[in-house]
Amino acid sequence: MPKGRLVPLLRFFLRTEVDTTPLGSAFSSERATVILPWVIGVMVYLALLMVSASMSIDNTIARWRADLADRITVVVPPAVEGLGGMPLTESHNSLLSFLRSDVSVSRAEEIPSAKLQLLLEPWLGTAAHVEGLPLPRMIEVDMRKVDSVAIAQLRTRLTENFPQVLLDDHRFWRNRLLAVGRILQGIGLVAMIVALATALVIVALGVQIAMSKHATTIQLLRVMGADDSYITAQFLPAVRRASAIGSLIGLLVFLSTYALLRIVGDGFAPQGMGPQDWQWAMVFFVPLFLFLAALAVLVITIWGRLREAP
Amino acid sequence: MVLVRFDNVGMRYGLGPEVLHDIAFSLPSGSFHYLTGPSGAGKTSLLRLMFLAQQPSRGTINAFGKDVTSKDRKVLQSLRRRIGVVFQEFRMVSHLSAAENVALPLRIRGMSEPSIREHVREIMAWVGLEHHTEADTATLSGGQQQRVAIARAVISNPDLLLADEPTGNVDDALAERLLYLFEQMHKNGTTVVVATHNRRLIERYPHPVFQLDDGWLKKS
Ligand SMILES: Nc1ncnc2c1ncn2[C@@H]1O[C@H](COP(=O)(O)OP(=O)(O)O)[C@@H](O)[C@H]1O
Ligand SMILES: [Mg+2]
Repeated sequence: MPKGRLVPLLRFFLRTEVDTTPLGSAFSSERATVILPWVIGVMVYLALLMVSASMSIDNTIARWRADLADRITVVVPPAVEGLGGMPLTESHNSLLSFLRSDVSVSRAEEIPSAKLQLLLEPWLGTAAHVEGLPLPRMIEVDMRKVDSVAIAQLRTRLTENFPQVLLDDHRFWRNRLLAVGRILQGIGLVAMIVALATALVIVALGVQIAMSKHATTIQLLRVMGADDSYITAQFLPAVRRASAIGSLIGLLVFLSTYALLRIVGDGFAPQGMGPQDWQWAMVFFVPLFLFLAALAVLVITIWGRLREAP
Repeated sequence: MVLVRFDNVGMRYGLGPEVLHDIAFSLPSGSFHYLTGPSGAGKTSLLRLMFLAQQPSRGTINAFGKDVTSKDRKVLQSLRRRIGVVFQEFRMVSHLSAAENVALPLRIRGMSEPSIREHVREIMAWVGLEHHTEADTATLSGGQQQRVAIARAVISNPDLLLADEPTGNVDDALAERLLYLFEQMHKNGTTVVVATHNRRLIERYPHPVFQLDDGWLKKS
């Protein structure tokens, strides 16, 4: 936009004379206008909850990806006393070295039983109870390149040499989880858009109703030669104020909710909950966007109505 | 110079029947005309065309040298600012005081607050309402509201002043006083059109008369 038009445009949106305008004072004291900040506040709050839920899911997905990327697990069932008649430890070492020497494997490491017990604790209870339980032994395998073909080939080679050993491909359930996560994330974003759109529709409806209510005065102003921006200016200060206050209310309540969750959930709140780093920019962008969009909706609504007649 | 010119103008409301037919006339700048005719003849409709609230369904209207049927919004808005209108039903903005109503045309023009106050004071004195500036318009009598309406129509010093039955709701003495205000505007060079039934007033202040009958215009 050329600078010559930006300055008058800014001046127009920043003008303040509420009480001297013929409709401004009436419009800003109407009940619909008085509750408008609260309606906008609720919608901004909902939108922020949705967007932060969506971001939490995104963060969790990112962590899953990092944890599970390109990793498969080789499971040795506990019943197998010795692989191929070999003594336990020896057969195990040969399995490890077999895996390590395989072309498709970059790393193979047994999960120490202590860590395994820790992982199983929620299901089996503390280490004391696990003592003596026949636990499977697990080997984490990082592959150079993970695709179905490479995994199938490794599986074939493995079962040829160690028939009782199982190869657990994380990718199947990982992909399922990722898909569920993405769907939830999508729902969150759609809900955010719906909340913001609802707030904007309410602004548009409020302006439409006010224009109908004051139709005779607007008609009078037009006959007197008022231009579109003069009539828009009647409604601008109240809507600007309502959307600024509403956006702030929504943001503040959201920040309070977040702080409360942080305090209450201290220690066991999952990592990645709530916005991280740059995502905070999004949190502040949502109310700002709504504020600006409400002004745009105001202008579009009024000009659309006024342009129905020359 | 011709200020307003109608050529072969017809008008209908929406899809309704034509209420004005083949209207052709011109208003010389600085002239004073009456517009008479029975109720329903189309006086208000003709004035609506003149103050550019309505577009004709056929024919052309030229005002201040511009074709107003072109529907150029900017042009229409600037032309409307040169026209003052006294409505048949006053059209006071009910939540504004008398002075605020009168100030409206100046606010639209973006005049500064002190000048507006000065102009309003002057014009309210001119219509004899200097003691009613802060009054709620609903508390004013019909005659007082009519004078507020006239003050509002003339405060911006329009080139064209249109009044729709301004003496319809007032007694003869006040009617004569109101006509005197229009006469003064006319003497100042404003082009005036007054719609009225009042034969006595027309005789008292004689000017050319447009006679409307069932949407047909006769000049006498
Ligand atoms: N807003 C309107 N919509 C439809 N018809 C109208 C409207 N206003 C006036 N009319 C019709 O137009 C005709 C002329 O009315 P009007 O111009 O008000 O006459 P007058 O002012 O001379 O009494 C009448 O038949 C009236 O019913
Ligand atoms: Mg009439």
